[in-house]
Amino acid sequence: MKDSTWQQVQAGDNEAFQRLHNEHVRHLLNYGLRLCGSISTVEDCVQDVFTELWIYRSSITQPTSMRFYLLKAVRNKLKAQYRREQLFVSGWDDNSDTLVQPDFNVESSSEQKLIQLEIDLQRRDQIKAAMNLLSPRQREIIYLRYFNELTYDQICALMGITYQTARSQVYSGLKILRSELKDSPLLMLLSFLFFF
Amino acid sequence: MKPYSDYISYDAEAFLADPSFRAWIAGPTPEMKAYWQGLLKCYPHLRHPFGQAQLLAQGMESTWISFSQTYVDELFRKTLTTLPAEQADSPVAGRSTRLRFRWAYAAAVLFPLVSGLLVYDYFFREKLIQTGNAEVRTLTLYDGSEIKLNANSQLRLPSRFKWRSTREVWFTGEGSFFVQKQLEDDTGKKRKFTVHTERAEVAVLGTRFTVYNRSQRTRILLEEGRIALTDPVAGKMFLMKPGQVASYKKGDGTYRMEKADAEQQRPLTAWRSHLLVFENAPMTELKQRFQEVYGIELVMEGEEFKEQYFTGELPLNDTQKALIILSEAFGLEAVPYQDRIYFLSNP
Repeated sequence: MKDSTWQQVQAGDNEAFQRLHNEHVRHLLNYGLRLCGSISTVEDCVQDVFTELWIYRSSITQPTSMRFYLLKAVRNKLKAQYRREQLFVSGWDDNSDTLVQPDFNVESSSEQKLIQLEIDLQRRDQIKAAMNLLSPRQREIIYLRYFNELTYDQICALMGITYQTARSQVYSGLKILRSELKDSPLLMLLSFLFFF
Repeated sequence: MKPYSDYISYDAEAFLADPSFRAWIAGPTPEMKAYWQGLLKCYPHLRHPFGQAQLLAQGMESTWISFSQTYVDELFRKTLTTLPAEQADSPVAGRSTRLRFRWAYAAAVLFPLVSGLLVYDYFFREKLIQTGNAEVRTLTLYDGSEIKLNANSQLRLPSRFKWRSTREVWFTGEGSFFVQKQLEDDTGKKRKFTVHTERAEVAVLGTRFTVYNRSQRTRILLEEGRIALTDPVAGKMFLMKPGQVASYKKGDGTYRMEKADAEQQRPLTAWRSHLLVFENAPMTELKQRFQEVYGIELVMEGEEFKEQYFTGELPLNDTQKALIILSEAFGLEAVPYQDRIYFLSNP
């Protein structure tokens, strides 16, 4: 199915191109926003990526993973723009107490989203604390794993790190969380909330 | 949903990758909650990994920005407007012809450049061949003549273009030459082949000989045919016969001619079969040969080495074995220290 979408795009099918666009664009925007934070920059960048994909479609062989290909394109573009590595943000503003939800056309407000995910205020603070414990790199790896289901090999190729580094980053990230959960009454609280 | 036993070995990462776990984080339902509670009751050891995964997943999920469909559609529309117009009409054809043109230009520039470089390399470039420590290499020249180089030797070979007018090479180190006879195209005379070294010019017509030309000495052994040896400093010329060795030592007036039998020739030629041969060699000679061929300095100090002579064969391509043979011959231990090998008496 995916193959044929790409083949249709290669043949010049506009509808297939839109399908491809809609399938990936949210992930690209979310990823880009965590790399740079300015929605207009990210929008431009994502548009450029799709424009180039269309223009060069006949010379691009079917990528094994379209998502990986597009994420890499977005990352390279943003990196080239800033000329240095940007910190990968957690999405939780480090200074203010609110969830970073830029003011543009989104499906639900942050508050609604928290309700929808059954996260109350207390839990929100826990999550925020936990996410800010992770290093930008750890956040990026976990983010890519979680939302884009990339393999470690793809993550390494995307971020320009070795397999060992990626694994140990995730491992130490989980270790930080574990010790944090053990030290604080967090886990107690968690299981309390959970079971009673 | 999977049976609980499937989760027994799960860690936080495995939970994060689990589809039903993710579905629950993204859209919690009471049934799902009961299912996971049941799992943790059943397998309490999963609480820690589950807790970590839940925290991370909620952190991810709650910061995910769900762009609305109208927003996405608008973005796509904007993307379309940035596409070049001609691409929209016949994009595939336009692209490929343009690409082909670009390739044509690239080829038009690159082809003469690359072929020019290849021609230059083939016809006009002088070649310098250098062998390393304990390395013996055989070369075949343009005319089929063969040169075998011992370790740490250098051969400068003129370009093919120059080779057409004169057959000559410049050489330092140790080498064996097996020169092919060649006739001049126009006159039908035999073409000369000249080996230049620091203190000798060896002119030959077609023959086999060995040259040793290192810091202190120059020795030329003629094995077959005839050669004319010129000493450019003394201004003398010698005609050599097979089996003769011409030797020169720094400080001598000119070459000394000696008849050498097969036994005496061996130290000069055995390296061709990867052997270093010594016949009653004083320690100074052993040290010097070792340095020349293996590139390693031997330190032999003390009374026991005075008036010592070494007779034996060392494998040229195996430095370790050579050192073992030496240490056994002397009954001493070879100890490497700072690029040198010290010979110490066994404790």
